[in-house]
Amino acid sequence: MAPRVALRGLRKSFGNLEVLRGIDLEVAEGEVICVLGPSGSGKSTMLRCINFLEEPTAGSVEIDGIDPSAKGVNIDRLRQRVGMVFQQFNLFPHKTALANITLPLRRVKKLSRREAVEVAQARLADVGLANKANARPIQLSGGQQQRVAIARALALEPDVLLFDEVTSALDPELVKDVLDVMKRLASGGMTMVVVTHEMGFAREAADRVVFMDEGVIVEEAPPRELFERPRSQRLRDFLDQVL
Amino acid sequence: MERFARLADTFFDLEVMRRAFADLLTEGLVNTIYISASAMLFGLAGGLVFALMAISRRWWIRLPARAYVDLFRGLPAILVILLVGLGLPTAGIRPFGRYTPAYAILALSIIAAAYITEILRAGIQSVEKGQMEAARSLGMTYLQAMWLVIVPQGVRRVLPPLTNEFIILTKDSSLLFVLGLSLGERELYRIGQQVASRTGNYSAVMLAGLFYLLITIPLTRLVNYMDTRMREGKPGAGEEEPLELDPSASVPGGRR
Amino acid sequence: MRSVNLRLLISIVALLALALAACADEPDEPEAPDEVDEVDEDEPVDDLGLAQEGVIVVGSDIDFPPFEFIEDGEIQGFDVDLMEEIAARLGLEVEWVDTGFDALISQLAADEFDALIAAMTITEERAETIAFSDPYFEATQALVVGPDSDITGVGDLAGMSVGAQDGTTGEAYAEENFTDSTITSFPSYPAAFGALEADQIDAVLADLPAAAEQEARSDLVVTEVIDTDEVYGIGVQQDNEALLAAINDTLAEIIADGTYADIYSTWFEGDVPPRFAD
Repeated sequence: MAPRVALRGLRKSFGNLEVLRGIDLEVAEGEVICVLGPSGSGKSTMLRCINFLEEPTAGSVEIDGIDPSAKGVNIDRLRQRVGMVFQQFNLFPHKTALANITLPLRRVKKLSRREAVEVAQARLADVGLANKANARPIQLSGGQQQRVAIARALALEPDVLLFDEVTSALDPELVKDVLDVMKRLASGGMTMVVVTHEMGFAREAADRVVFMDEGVIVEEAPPRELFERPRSQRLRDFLDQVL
Repeated sequence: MERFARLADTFFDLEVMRRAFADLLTEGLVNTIYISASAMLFGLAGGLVFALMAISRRWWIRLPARAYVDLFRGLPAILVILLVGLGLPTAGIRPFGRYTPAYAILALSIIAAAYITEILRAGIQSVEKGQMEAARSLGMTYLQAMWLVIVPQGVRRVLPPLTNEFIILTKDSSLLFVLGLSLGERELYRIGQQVASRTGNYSAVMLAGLFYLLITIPLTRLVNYMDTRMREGKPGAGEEEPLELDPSASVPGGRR
Repeated sequence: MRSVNLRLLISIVALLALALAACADEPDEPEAPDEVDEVDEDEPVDDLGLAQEGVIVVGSDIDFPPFEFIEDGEIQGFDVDLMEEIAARLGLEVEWVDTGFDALISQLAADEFDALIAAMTITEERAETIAFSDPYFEATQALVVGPDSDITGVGDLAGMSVGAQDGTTGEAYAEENFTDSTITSFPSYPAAFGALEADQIDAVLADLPAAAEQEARSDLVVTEVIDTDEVYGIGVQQDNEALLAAINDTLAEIIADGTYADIYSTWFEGDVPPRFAD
């Protein structure tokens, strides 16, 4: 069975700045991968390449063995298999929490109104916000908004879910609720790639932790091994700073 | 004192106003609103298409939109009105037969679309990049994302300049008199002006002005109200992320 | 406008003078207020009530060939020649002021100028605001149609759309008589003829001279001439009887000695109407 996500020799430049310099990574079905690294190491760019928000300069990104640049591949369809949750939530401010979720269900998945509302309510319940269905994003706390965003991504039943520093914009007391939802997803078998600074989460929920620096993967290992026996100086320096 | 009396006679003769009142109300006001509102509607549709073209990444899509905006924002309204209302039929292009108000609406729509393009472009570009990314990541196509997510937000932010554009359009509709409007088709200014050329008395024109104010003042108040609400960031005023809104961004691209 | 500024200046000087006189508290001293009047006493034409000595300011809508129009940078036309002749005989210079036709009457009444000549039909409505001289022209109307039109005269106008110029005799006549037609008014004859050439309307009812001019320079055709019994007059301010009398006397002179016929034949073809022939 093909890996959910396969990055091969992935490179990405913005003008003269090469942000990714050859990334190889495979994510298996049900695997939870946490990506660590100092800011500017290329973590987010890698994630955005997996969702085709950025086009690789070189190398390839495959989802379920499908290369989006291949002929006859509809990138919008392929993208439906990859959900993404953003640092800034990116909820649609002109829609209620429920409508944020039903909009793609109806327009992309072409569900009927009734089906869409059913699914949306179920996903809101999953993230503990069943009672906020009719709230507008501005009426929700940051943590609640982020959980709606997770519910929205989940509702499309993606094969893999990407998290881009989803707790970084939250007040500390709101982080826990969001992480709890993510942990539940992880233990539920969801394939996840999580860019994060939450070492505790990585330690607890990840099957594998990837450490990136200066556009390359420096080390990857199960969390216990990576945190307790870092092999490179760069990772040791990084861990010294964040722990 | 005599000068004031003459001013009162020539510009504020209540008897002349009284005689013109019915025409101004039942014909002029109706037609002015009908023409301006139609032009606004078509201007919005055209403006949206050109705005989407104007933000394209492909230069050959941007170029026609740019040229259109430059051309029709740069020409005097009256020239465009003549070109459409008289030029088209002269060239044998008569999509509306002899129905002059339709040519008038087309001319005003063309002008409005040029201004609205710039207003909508600014509004669309003021929507955070993350909105498009979120929409795309949910599997929406570019056009779906634009239509369902970006444009509704962008339009709300530019409601004040859009309303402002409608006010200006209403006033510009007074220029249609150059096309010759027959009985029943006349807008406010035309009726007033006709009385003036027959009698040399401007009171009917002044009364027409009063009717314009009847349309424009409530709209002006509405613009101010929306502006204030947006600046204060009250929900429901269209702007739902007040902290990220630059106050000067609430009226981009409009003409004053 | 030079005349306005000058008048403003005189008013200010007069006011200052009056103020000075009042402040001086010397009622016996006549010199200060008289300073302004002294200028007037030099010329006998003072009694024509003109704001400026030796100059008559005349308003017109100078876009109406062949009555008044600008060509090669010069104001010319029938009205222009006639007015210049009248002024010359009164020992006056004409200063022309160009304004919109619909503004002429109110501006004359507001003393923006001393007289107006603008192919303006004498009507009771207008005569409420200004005074008119004796008639100087017969306003015959002409029905103008396109080159391939089936319309041969006013009898064919039922159901047709007829254009006219705002506030003209033609417009009033059309509205009164062509009740089965749609009357569309235009701000100027060029606009009306433009619409006719664009086939937006079927015919234009215009003053004969304007219609003849249009026929000569385009492929539009005068299909019928209509006598409306209406005449043009020169407008003056209602309280300026001296100027009105002077203009009427001079006009009669010009008609009597054949000068009118000369001017007429400069601008129009055909015979001079009997009432204006010497």
